[in-house]
Amino acid sequence: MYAVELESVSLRYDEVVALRDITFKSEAGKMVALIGPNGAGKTSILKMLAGLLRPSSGEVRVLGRDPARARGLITYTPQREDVYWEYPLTVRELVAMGNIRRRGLFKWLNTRDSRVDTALRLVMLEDLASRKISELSGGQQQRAFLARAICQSGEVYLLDEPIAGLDAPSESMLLEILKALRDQGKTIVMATHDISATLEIFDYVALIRNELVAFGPPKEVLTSENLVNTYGGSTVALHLDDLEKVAGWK
Amino acid sequence: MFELLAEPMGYEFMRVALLTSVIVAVTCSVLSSFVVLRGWSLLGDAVSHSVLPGIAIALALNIPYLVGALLAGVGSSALIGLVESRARIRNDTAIGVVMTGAFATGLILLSWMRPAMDVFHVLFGNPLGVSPSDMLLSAAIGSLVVFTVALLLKEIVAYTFDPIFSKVIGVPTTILHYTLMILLSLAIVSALNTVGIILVITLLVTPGATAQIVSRNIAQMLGMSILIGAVSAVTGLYLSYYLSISSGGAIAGVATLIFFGVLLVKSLSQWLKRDKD
Repeated sequence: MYAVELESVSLRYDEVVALRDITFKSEAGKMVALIGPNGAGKTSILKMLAGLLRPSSGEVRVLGRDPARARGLITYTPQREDVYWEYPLTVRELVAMGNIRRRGLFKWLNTRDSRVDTALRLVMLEDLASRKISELSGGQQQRAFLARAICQSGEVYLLDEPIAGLDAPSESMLLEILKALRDQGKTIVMATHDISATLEIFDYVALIRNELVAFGPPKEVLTSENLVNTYGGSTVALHLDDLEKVAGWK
Repeated sequence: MFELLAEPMGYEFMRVALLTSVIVAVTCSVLSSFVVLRGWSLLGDAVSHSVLPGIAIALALNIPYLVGALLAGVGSSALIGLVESRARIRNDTAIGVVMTGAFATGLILLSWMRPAMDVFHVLFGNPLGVSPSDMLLSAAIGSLVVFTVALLLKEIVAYTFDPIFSKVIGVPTTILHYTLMILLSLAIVSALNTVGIILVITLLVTPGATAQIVSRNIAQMLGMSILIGAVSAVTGLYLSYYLSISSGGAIAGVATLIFFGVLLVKSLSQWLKRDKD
């Protein structure tokens, strides 16, 4: 059984074809990066895996079942810009949202749940637990989001551009946490623009440009030809530069 | 001072008006926090304006105006969503089209039918004309709103903060959205006699906006919002009695003054703190 599986998946919005015939799969306990330009369909793939969008054709499975039937096992972290950070919530309350399914009606979020403390410890935000979420830096906000997903105790983590706009130390801290989750057997599927970040720790890379350009281990997939096909010629030189520096391929 | 406060309470209509205004203000203020945090201020305005044709049609069909107002309020929010997705226009544009269209329809229907109900009072409210049965209706609506929000508080907070996450973890977001729209329409109906359709948006936005300036968490924000709504209602009604001014206008005006007062104090304290540092 695969943790995530897309088989001949296409997605249309009226006349517009957002995704065409996408097929890839990953076992559990792996990290998968979805890489492609803006509008390539990365978020749409994440939303289909989360059960928020239905494919126009083809099949999407998470842990062998329809995503809608795997709700408790899936965590979804949207882009940071998708929420209103001035919302009057403390970090602890945000993280406790992850255990909302375990609380009955008339009950407030269980902020004293041991899962909340564990999640805060894992992302190193214990000291900021009482702080308002609007007072966090971008990297801390992203770690708080991740703590909420950890508190949810899911098996498959879907993350939409979690490292976008982060400084290097924050990015590296976040990737280390994701690596630790992978080592615990969790499956991570992450949309990103950052090719260099995927090289060392991701097991698979899916290059997307409304269709699957390539899928496989980073060193096999991130070739200049595939990157040209994904991004177009003008931007590729920069990415190849990064690759050479980080991986020392040349 | 005591006499100033006690004198208006010698009249039954003032006692009923005061109680009803406070009930309505508290009802609207409970929802106000979520209207503000979800960015629904314009949507709230649209729902309040859309209630008018519902009332007109209910009067024509001789059914309770509450039913017509409720259906029109919820229907308008559904229509806004439909127009937005089908016409592929921005949300505020869809709201503008539906709100003005519905309000115009209501005005045409009411001017054509000439019902016994005073259109001016529906638009601008008149708490001094509230009957005890109106007060009981407002109290019933207020209890329902408070009970529902208390029942679903963490789900409403999760949905208004991060709707996508809420949907993924299994919160029934569509049902929750329309539950909030029903509560919003009910709150607007309860406010018809006090502040009216035009000014109800003040009670649905301003207490929450004021509370957000000074709150650290959602419980504080809800409490502050309710307090500000209640103080606005009481102060506004007393001002209208002694200054012989519009009661609905006075309540809305006080709420607005409190907002700017709190903003000024907050800005000054931040400025002083920065200066000290």
